[in-house]
Amino acid sequence: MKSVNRFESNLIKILYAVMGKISMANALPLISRAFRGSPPRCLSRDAIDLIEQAIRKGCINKLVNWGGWQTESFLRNSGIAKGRLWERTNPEQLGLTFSEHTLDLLIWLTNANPTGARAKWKPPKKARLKVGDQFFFFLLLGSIQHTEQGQRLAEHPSFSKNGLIRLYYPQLYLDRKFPDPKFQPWVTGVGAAILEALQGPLASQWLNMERKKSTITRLDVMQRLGDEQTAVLNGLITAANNAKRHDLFRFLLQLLSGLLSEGSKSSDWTEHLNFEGVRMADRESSTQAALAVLHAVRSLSEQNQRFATVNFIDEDYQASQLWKQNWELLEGDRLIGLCRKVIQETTF
Amino acid sequence: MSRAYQIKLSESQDKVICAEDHISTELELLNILPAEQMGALLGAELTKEGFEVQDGSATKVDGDVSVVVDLDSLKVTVRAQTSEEVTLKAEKSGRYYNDEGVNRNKKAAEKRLKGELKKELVAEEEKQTSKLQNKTTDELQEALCDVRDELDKAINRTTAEALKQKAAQLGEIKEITEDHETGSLTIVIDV
Repeated sequence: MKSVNRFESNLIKILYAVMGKISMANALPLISRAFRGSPPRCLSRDAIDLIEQAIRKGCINKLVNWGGWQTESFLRNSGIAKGRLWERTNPEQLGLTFSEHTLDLLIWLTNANPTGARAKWKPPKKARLKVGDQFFFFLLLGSIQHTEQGQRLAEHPSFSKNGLIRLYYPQLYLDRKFPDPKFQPWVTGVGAAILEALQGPLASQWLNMERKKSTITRLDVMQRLGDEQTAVLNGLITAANNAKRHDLFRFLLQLLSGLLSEGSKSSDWTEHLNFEGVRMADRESSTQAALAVLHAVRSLSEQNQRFATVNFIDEDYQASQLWKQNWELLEGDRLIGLCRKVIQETTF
Repeated sequence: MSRAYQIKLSESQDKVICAEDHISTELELLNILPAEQMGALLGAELTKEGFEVQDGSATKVDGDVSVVVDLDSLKVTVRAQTSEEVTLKAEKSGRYYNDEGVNRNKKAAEKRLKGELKKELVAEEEKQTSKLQNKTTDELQEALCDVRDELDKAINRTTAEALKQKAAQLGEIKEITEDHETGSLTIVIDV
């Protein structure tokens, strides 16, 4: 039987809610107000054990449920590995490393009110976040993204520079220009394994975002969303290609597959945009922003042409085979054709 | 005994207001010949439509509307720029009081009126600019139809010319049949 004090109990409740073990509704009151009383100078061994256990089990549970359980093919050392996430990579290599900053953030969340006037989480300036920390931040933001606390946290550089967060929640970054997200941790090692498991959820997330565009009325909102999507997708595609992991943006084909049909037209994206009395230049700019995803994925066609010319003696033969397999399965040529048709409609 | 006085301020400004609007697109040209040659052929065809080719781009100016085709990237920008000389007028009146020979609030009233006058002039300028902007946008929209026709013609002729040159590279051209109405082109070559 473990025993913890009130502060530790609150912290663990918040952690359980982030990991989906209990409802966030139970933990939100603990996050949204400062801790009444003085926090302990250090956490007890029992509390640390419970925290470690919650993070260990919670992260695995999330990854497995998202898509890690599915038998899929992804690249491994320029070859193709097929199986579930833990079959494609040795479980020892799937270990997530956490630094003190995850615990530090949890302590701060329990102790302070994130929306308070002077409340700001301050990690050391040269804090080097591990992949585990960044993944935890992603999970935390996902669980409170619709709250004021979540929106305040999202602006913190430790969150806004996180490529996975920006890729999954671009809609949180429309208020101003944020620094370019970093994708490097997510295209190599265990970060890439996380991105593999997230292919399905990413496709659904972006599909919802694209479908909601038809409800946007303000040109400036559409412009900012389009700019953010362009920056994020270009960043991911470039980083993944540099790491020779083009399989990590396969979700874009899945997205197009759900998004486009023979009857797709540009008004599906711009239906409620208010163009009244607006310059043609601004109309064009916001229309192209509405179609930012379609513009970004057009480059996949060039990539496909490049892979089509790879011979079996070439170094990236296996990579090209996997690409072609996905391309044919998801009807890449048809989808890019539909993309072009919709874009073509918007040209004069 | 106090007396009320009325003050009237008016101002007029001559200004040149400008408006601009543009739209861009990319031309789709089949890669029949290398990109450089396709660009050169397109340039030659655009010249027949009244464009001037210089430094890798073809330009045509017609009144307030200009069309620029970048022959490398095939990006077309159609731009309308207009300007107008306008006279902005505003008038404001207000009151101040003279109380036993002392002007109680004359300066304050004048200051307030000047501020209001300035605001009205700015609002008037914005109104005129917006009117000119709408006119410019309409002008651009009207011009687009003609530009589209001209560009389509030039692209079709460029494609035909490129096909002829490509056919000549493949063998000896025996017969060329062109139907200008349907746009069809038949080339018989002896390889």
